[in-house]
Amino acid sequence: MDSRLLSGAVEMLMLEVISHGRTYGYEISQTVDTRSNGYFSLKEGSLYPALHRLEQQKLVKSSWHEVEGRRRKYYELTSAGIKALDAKKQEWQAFASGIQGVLGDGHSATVIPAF
Amino acid sequence: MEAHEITTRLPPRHEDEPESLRQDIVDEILDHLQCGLRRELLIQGGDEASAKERVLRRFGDPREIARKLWFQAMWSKIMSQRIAVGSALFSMLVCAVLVGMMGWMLHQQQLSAAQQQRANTELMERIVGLIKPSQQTETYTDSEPRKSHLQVKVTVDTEDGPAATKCILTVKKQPELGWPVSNGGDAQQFALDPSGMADCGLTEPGRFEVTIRTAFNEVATSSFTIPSQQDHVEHIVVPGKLPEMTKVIFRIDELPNDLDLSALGLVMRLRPHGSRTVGGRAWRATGRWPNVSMPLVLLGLGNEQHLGVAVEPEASSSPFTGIDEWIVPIDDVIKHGKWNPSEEWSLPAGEYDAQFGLANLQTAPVANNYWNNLDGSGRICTSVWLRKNHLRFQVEHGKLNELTIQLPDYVSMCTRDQSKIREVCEFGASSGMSGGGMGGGMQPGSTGGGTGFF
Repeated sequence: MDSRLLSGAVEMLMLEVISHGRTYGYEISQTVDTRSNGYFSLKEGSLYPALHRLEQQKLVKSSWHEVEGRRRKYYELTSAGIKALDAKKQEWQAFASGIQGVLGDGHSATVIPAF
Repeated sequence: MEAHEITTRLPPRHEDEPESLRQDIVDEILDHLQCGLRRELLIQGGDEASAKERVLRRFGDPREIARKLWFQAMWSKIMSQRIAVGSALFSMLVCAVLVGMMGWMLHQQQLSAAQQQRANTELMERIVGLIKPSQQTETYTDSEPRKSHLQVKVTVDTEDGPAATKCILTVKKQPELGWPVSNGGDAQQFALDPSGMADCGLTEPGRFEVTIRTAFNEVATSSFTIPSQQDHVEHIVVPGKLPEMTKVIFRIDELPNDLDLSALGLVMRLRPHGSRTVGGRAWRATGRWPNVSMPLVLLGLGNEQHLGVAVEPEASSSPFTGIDEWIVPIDDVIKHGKWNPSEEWSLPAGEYDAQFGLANLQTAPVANNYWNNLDGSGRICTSVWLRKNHLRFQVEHGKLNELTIQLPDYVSMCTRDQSKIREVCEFGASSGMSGGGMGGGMQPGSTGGGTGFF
């Protein structure tokens, strides 16, 4: 996939995954991989810089918990993250709709009524 | 992979680095790797080493990921520090540039000021040059020493002539444009040494005037400018001898015949007038010629027989303006007894002023015939000058000059002016004479009272 398309989509996908509940890095990577059927063949490690960037932007917040004798960092959306996710979704859907409109059957067109 | 392996590519601990940053990064990465290994072993099976290898292949290099996360966390702080350091360096650079620019501007200002000062000096020199185009201009600056050595060299007749010695120099610094008057005006007199030189010493530069008086009582003035720090020798050529001696006889056109004042006489003396040019300078005669028998004409008013021409003695100074006192060797006059129109006198050629005065002759112990009853000693003739420079005679070289004394009307009028005559008489009386001016005596050297007429 084109990296320019990917960079914009990854953050939205992570926000979407986190929006379903508190989760951690490995789980996020596995969820994205599963739901996309392995379409985003990303190095799992590249997920973390993106996660930390979202945290610095206050779109997600983190907390540490002890799990099976290890420290695990959990992420969850902030209210700003929720709003950002909604905006990105609308933007993406409008974009996809536009693309689909052009790449679809080719018969849909805006008809300007004549007066 | 162990925890310490993950941190191998992290930079040294930063002073602003949070305590838990490195551990948080390691724990998060290790948790991911553990989760991945567990899942790999459950799903794929196999040995642990190959499972770890697959996990790491999907994850990427943990050390590089840890390095990215560390820089991401520290980015703002590092950049803030770098910005602060950069700002400080930039400020120092700006200060250095400003200091440099101020220094450069100061230097330029000093150069400009020096240039302006030079321009002003040149302008001043031009102005002085315009005012005195024939004089050498000079530059004055407060920072320079101004002393210059001034000498005057005097020779006789020509520049290569013998040294002159019997001259008196008066050196005077003249006020200059822009100089206070107090800087000049003080005259100093100098005598000449046997080589004809006068050393005036060190002096400030400026415009000077040297007045030189010769042994013949002739005076000339030389003006010159001494530039700063330039020694100056002023060369002056003086006349070496009197004008050519020329024969002179005196005549009188007429005597007033309506006066009967035997006690009063009229005195006429001659003074050289005008100037002659020697060494390119005009030498003006002042006073009588030295070592020359100058004629003193005595006219006994009221008795035309009582005329005579005596050698003018030195007049003694009188405290009264317009009054001269002589010890007149009357013998020179009375030996003739009367006017001798053929008596020849010898005078240096040139122009002369005839100066007339009223003389009180009562000091002679005689009355009507005082010429013949003198005791042979010198007598005092006190004269009040009526007017000077009345007649002017030209004594020309190479011929016998006949000088006719024209008694003008004004002399007659003055002698007829009884009030003035009375004053002269009273002056004589107050000088110690007795008998209403008749028969009294006055000893040589005594002085009279009273005031002059004019």
